[in-house]
Amino acid sequence: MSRARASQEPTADAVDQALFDAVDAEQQRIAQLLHDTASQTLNAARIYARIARDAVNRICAEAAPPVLELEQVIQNAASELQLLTRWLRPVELGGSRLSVCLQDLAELAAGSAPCQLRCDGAAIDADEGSQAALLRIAQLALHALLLQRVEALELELTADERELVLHIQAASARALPEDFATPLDDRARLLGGSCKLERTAGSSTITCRLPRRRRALD
Amino acid sequence: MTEAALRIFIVEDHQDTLKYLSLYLQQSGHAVQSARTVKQALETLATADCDVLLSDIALSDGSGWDLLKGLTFSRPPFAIAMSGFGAAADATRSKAAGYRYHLVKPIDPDRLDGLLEEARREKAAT
Repeated sequence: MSRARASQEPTADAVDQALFDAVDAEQQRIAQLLHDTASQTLNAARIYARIARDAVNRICAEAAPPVLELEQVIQNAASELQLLTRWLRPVELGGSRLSVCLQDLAELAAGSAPCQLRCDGAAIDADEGSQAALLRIAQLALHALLLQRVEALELELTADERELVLHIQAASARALPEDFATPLDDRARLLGGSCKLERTAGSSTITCRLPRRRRALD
Repeated sequence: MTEAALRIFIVEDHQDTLKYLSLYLQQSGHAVQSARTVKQALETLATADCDVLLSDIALSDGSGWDLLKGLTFSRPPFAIAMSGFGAAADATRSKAAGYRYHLVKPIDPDRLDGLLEEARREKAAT
């Protein structure tokens, strides 16, 4: 291979980054599509079910219970779809603090399994790229854990002089696959970090570390 | 219109959502105007003298955030954002844009009624 051509070949990291960007873009596209179609229609149906219930109530209150139940079924379907689109859509800082966004994710996860976040809530002084990457890794990890039907989750965010550290502890009767954290580790490595899985009886802990400052690695 | 009724302006590009939301609010006794795009809303809102603005965030030709920032009111309405995505960042942007509340779809009519009651009390107090 000529030197000129070798210099044009993408690095392995560049290929990985392009792959992750493509995955995120596709998930964003699917989330938006679900939102713009089925989710919107269910939302409209939810409102019309309420109109129907009120109308039936005015005419004959005894006939209202099935309509109320229908309203609840539609509400449940709309909420389930909304939850799915929130997990699919790559989360962004959007000007909010990392701790606020993680709390948001913890509350989202708590709809499926008990989930607590421990952090002091103060603004973290770290490169926005590291914060955004940690947030995205947390989203992917939590969703994957919920799909494994873990029984409870605990998150802890800390920072030392060099690193942001996120521990995710999952209680589960069933052991996580040995390579569960590999896709997360692949993302973290691109920023000079890591995501490692430790498994013990009844629980697993994923520890994600990302440098606070990329300049520290240069 | 009764004293309890509000003038509500809805900005929503999903046809069925706009139809049923308008119907629900009208049946609750409110006067409803609407627009389906940011452009339509900008043309109409400034002179609509509405009490409440209920706007979707993701619109076909822009965002509800841009809409509110692009308007000046002699009497700012009680602004409520609606969105299918309920991330913290979205709610933060809505507050920064001037929305009092950020509702996540599916809209709970009881929750909406509660906010409209708050708007009604504020209007009565001024």
